[in-house]
Amino acid sequence: MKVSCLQENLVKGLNYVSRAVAARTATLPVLTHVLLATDGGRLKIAATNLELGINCWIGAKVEDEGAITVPARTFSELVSLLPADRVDLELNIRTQALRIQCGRTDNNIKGIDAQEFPIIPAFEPAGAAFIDAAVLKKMIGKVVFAAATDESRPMLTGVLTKLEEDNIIMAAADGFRLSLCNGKLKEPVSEPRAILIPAKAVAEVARILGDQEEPVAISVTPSRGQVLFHMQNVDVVAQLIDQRFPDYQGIIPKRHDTRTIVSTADLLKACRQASIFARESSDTMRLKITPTDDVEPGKVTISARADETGDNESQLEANATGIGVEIAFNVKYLIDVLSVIDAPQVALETTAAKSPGLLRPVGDDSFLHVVMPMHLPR
Amino acid sequence: MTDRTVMHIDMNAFFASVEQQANPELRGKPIAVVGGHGRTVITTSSYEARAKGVKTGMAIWEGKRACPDLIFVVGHNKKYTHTSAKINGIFRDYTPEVEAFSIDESWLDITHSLSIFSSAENIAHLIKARIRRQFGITCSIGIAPNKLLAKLASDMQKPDGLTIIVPENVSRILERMPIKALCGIGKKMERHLNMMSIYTCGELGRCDEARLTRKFGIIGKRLKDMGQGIDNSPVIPFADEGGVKSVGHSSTLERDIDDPAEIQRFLLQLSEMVGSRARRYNVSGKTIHLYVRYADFFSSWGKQTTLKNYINLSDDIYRTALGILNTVELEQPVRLLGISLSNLKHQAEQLPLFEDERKKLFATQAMDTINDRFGKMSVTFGSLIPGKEKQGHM
Repeated sequence: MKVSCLQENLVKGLNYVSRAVAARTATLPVLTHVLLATDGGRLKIAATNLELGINCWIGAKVEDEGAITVPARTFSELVSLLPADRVDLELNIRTQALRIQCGRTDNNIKGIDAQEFPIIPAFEPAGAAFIDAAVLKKMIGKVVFAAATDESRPMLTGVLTKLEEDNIIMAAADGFRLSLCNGKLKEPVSEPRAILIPAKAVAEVARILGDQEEPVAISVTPSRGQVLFHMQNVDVVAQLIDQRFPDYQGIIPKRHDTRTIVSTADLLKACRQASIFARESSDTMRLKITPTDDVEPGKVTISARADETGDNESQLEANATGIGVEIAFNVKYLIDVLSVIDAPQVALETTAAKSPGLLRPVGDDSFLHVVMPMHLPR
Repeated sequence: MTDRTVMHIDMNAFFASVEQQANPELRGKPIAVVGGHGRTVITTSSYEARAKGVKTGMAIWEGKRACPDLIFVVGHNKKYTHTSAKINGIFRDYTPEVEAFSIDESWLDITHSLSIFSSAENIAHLIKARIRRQFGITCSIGIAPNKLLAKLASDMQKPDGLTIIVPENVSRILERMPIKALCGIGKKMERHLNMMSIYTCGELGRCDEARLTRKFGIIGKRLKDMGQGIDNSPVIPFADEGGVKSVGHSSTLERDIDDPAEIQRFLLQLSEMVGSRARRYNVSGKTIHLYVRYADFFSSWGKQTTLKNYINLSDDIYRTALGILNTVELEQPVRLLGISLSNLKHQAEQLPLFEDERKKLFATQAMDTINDRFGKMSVTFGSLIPGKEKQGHM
């Protein structure tokens, strides 16, 4: 193998695949390596930890075809320190060492035979669903934070993704809250699909989508065990979670006693203030909702207190209908959801202090969020 | 060690007093608490019975002979532990440093509380009044510069006593005090010391340390200190709510058990005790430790497992502990079981999203509320209600 490419492209490619590199304690040493392979006049860089695999392609001048794997950490560290110049990569087949030349530096890194690297499936357009990159990125941002990070219930560490006709629905829940978002596909899919994708992989897709414009293709491998996100020059392949996601429809409250509409930005600001004080008291924030009546406008009083720190109270004007209510939430959860709502106003629907609250952006039916309250502090 | 003020509080005829409090018909009458389940020894008796010569450790027929109208009551450990916990709660209103020595005895280090409550005597009177009002129980209180002397002081006047030993009087009081009055000197030790012609604390304190060390080894120095009324051991609070590291409970079974169903029932009961305490402290834990001691009293094993999530519901603790138990082949009948929950974090009072979890939580909370009000195990799991146990008088 003998190829040349630009240092900045190599850095970018290595950055794309970095999160798929296995931890150094991995049982298979080759999983801690990146694969470098010539592929149709480009250089393919790949990494996999068997759960998540990423392929990316960068422009290169190929003189001799070939492939090798090199330790990801060593190679990335070196490349990031090379001058912004042409990098020449040359494999010594006999020693399996990769020679890296750039400017006046000359390095050799010992590799492992590319044959030992696991195969990451390639994209097959048949049966794939296409979606606008910006739409997908936004949808992921609205649900992925609600997925569980502890592994006690594996199904909650995934993002449920449903494809039906030209609709895409994404849902995530961690046992205390549920985020649900829907969007449109470029064209209808031939058969409906419901898959549970690890939240880590979905977050990775959103990260890579940062600078993408082309539509994204989502396809499930023929074995149905993996999902592939095909983007411009990058493919992300993830092992699906083979479990059933809980029935989220049953979690969404069907009715409410109080509906409170407030400015999203104001509420977010009040929550951020309250969170300073709530830190020492399990992040508990108290909301007191006074409904609008004939004389006075409605209001929301937000407060938090901690014995050691002190206390905080903010009042927001609100358009509140229904009965007055006092309810406590984890302030972090509210900050998480309010941060992803881009509508100027948000509606909070509540019933009782121990029943779920529902947040929706006003004038936007594509998103909703259910959050369980906390016990009201005594 | 700086000057300390330590209080020792001893509930007078604790079990009998609790029974008299629970059943007004028994008040003012000679009663004796017995173990039940075929046991025939008197555990404790009321002061009315003691006046007639009834003593702890007597067989039932001996008690009847000493006092023909003696009423026998089967003891209920849960009732006592519940009352004991509440009483220790009262102590904590006066100092966080409360060490429960046994179910009816506690030490309090009140050194730093004196400035708030003016004097040790005042604290003693406040505590006495509250315990009498709330539980109808009298107690003997000893106040001294250390734990050893505080305990000695509370033993000097029973029932309903208050004895203060000030540093100036220590040597005078100890001079003629028989050595067996010291906490830690049992019958066997007393016999050994008597053989060295040591009968009083004064004599023990003056004894040559080398002589004591030759006879008793490393505790020789400790014995001499005791004779002089010296005791530097601190009052160790069992678990102050701020810094609970683990929540555990172990209990010796009434008899050796090899029936798996019975072991499981006991495990569930322990899980409920550990769970309810963890919930009271508002903590949940990731690591469950199970300890088993076999019938021969010597062989035992302990095994633990760490979960991915934090738990504090009794049912979850039970399932985890049972999981550990099921990985082991029991070699012998079981004599003692213990469960502890560690790797703790402060539990946010967050309600769960899924309805089945919510129901479990609400049921647990309702159970805890009732048990807090009416005593431990007033409400419990169906499988813990024994079919054959009978309550009441014999």
